[in-house]
Amino acid sequence: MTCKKNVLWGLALVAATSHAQQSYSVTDMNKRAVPCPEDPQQIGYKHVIDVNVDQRTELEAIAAGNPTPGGYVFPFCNRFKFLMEQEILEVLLPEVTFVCGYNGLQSELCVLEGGNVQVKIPEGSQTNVIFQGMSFSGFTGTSVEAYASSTSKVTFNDAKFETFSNGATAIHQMNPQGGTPMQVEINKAQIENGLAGHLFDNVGGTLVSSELSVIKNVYADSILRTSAGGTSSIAGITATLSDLVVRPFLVYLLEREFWRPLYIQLVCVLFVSLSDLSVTSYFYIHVSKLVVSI
Amino acid sequence: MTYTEGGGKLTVSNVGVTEMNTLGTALFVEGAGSAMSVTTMDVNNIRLFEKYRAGTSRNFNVIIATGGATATASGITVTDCDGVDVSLFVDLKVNCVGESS
Repeated sequence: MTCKKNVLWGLALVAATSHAQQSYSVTDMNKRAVPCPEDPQQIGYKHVIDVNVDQRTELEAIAAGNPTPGGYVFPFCNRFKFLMEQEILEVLLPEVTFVCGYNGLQSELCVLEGGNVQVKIPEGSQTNVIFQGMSFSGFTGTSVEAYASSTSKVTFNDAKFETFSNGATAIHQMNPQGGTPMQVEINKAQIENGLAGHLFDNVGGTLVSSELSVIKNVYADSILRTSAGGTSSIAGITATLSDLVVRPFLVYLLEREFWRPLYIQLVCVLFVSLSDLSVTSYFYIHVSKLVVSI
Repeated sequence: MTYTEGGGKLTVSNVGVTEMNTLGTALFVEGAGSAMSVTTMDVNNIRLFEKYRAGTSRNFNVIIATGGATATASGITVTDCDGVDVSLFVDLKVNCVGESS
């Protein structure tokens, strides 16, 4: 695991130095937190491996009978790239928050960079996991494996997923044991520049999201796939300057010359209910209920 | 944008699709037991990729529901489609506000 300074973030440097206080602070448990290179007033982690080691040390302390605090906080150094080719952030503790910089804002630029899998949340004792202001960049596989069971929950606040490739997935939500996977909550996430499969892949779980923004240059099979009886709820989703082709192998549905006969061949019952449908400024269609059966 | 299958359920509100170089479907739900509910969706400024301009694929589907899936939608507005044929549930043609070609 290595870290390197990002010297290109000058503008962010100006913004970040205006922070007067650190909202998230370290405790005795954060043994490997150090003054951050880009901002020595901040005490945080500059290596993911140190986060993993401190978590394991705490787990051993818990196993030895030490009392657990109400929650754990791991501040990541701001204006820093954490190179993930050789490391994976493992989430091991219950009630744990991984926070970017002083105040947990994405603009403070704590970036997990590169690698196939960046974060693993395995089955374990995690009950409430929070990523606050973290950025996930350059991943080629699954950025976050949310593989714990339904008694656990992971929340992403003010997150960013960017510059992914190779049909990547941002969050894969499933339970390898076959049960119901952990809950996923996304509060404000920005997605840009990348080639993805299903960006958020909910396999049988519960996903709740708000303020999901696909900004530009995203090529994906979908932003969100929900399957295996999963339930997803999105309040606020925008997509701009992107190419999101759902189910390209059903492209015949998109071909006007061919869709009608093939549409008739579909073995399905299509139930559609429309209300308050406005399509032009010249006229409006109001349909209280429309049923189409094939 | 979204794909729901295998008995999955999706509830989505306040959807905005703007300046999309899109050949595809915004919201797709498939399979018996799968369901989708959409409220308040604005589709604006649809653009075809240049490579598709010479072909026959000039259709953009806002919602497709197939294979026994259930979909409900309300409050959908479509504007400025750049000559792209926009459809709702495959065969319900949608005329656009601000059609530019």
